Amino acid sequence: MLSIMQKDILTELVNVYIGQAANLLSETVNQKIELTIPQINLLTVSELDFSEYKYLSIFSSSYVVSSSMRFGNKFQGKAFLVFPPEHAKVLISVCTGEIVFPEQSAHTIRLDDTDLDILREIGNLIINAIIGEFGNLLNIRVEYSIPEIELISIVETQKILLENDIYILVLHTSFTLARTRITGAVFIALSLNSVSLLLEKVNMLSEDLNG
Amino acid sequence: MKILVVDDSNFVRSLIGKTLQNNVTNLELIMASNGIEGYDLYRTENPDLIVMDLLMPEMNGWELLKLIREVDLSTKIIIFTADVQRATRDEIEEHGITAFMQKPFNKEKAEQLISIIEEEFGA
Repeated sequence: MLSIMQKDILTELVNVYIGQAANLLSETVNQKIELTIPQINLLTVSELDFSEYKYLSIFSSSYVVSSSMRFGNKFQGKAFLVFPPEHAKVLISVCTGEIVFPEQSAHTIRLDDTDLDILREIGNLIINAIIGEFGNLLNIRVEYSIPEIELISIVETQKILLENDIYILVLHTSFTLARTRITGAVFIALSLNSVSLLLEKVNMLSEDLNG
Repeated sequence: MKILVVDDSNFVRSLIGKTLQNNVTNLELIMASNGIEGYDLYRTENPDLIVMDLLMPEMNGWELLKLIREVDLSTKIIIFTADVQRATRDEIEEHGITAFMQKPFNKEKAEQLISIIEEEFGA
């Protein structure tokens, strides 16, 4: 789907955007956050396979906590920030300064209104940092919907993505937060027009690079 | 000094509220969770300063800002948002705001907020 050059440029851009997003998260929890190099793929929904090894740590419990936002204008789609439920709970605990119980299993995790509020705010920060920079890159002001938080099964995740757009820009990265390993992933479902806009810009950058 | 904080996140409202309570003397703090509540409180309470988010349910910060600026160009307004877009900042700044601040709200931003309040009101 992506040429080597397109993938290289997109990875470099996303690397910066994810780095900025992680920086914002780091400011929120007041802790250093280390990132793995983001992996990026542009896939059709039918090509997206959650059973792939790289997603196992996120989808091992068959449920994920998803914080999602629709975005629109000329660049439109829906972005999802997903965490395993037990990791989401640890992240919330770090934000509120509460005691962390990392041994809690996904089945015993309960999210109250305060937890949902904090997850919504984290989703808002991370997704804005990434999608907003795409807006800056494309010179388009992107408008957002209010973030939605859901505890969803993997089957539902794939269904939700299918309900949205054809192409999925998959960004996958791991966060290491202090001594606690929190793994998350970002999925961005894009309309066909938005994919074209993005690739057009990437191709222009590629031409600039090659003189 | 009367300050209205408008943000749909209870977590963020609490953080901003605590910072203001600990640093601003003679503070009267009012909170709203969306633009509609914010506009009602603006009209009835006539605050000296409004600290508001942009992305909110019911009525967003853009709409609230425009409604206020239709009738009042003098009330100080600080925008506090997760939106990183240059176009957003440029457009918002055309509405005569006191400051445009980037979320998250942390110690550094708290100090920045207090410093702006001291500069504007000498409080």
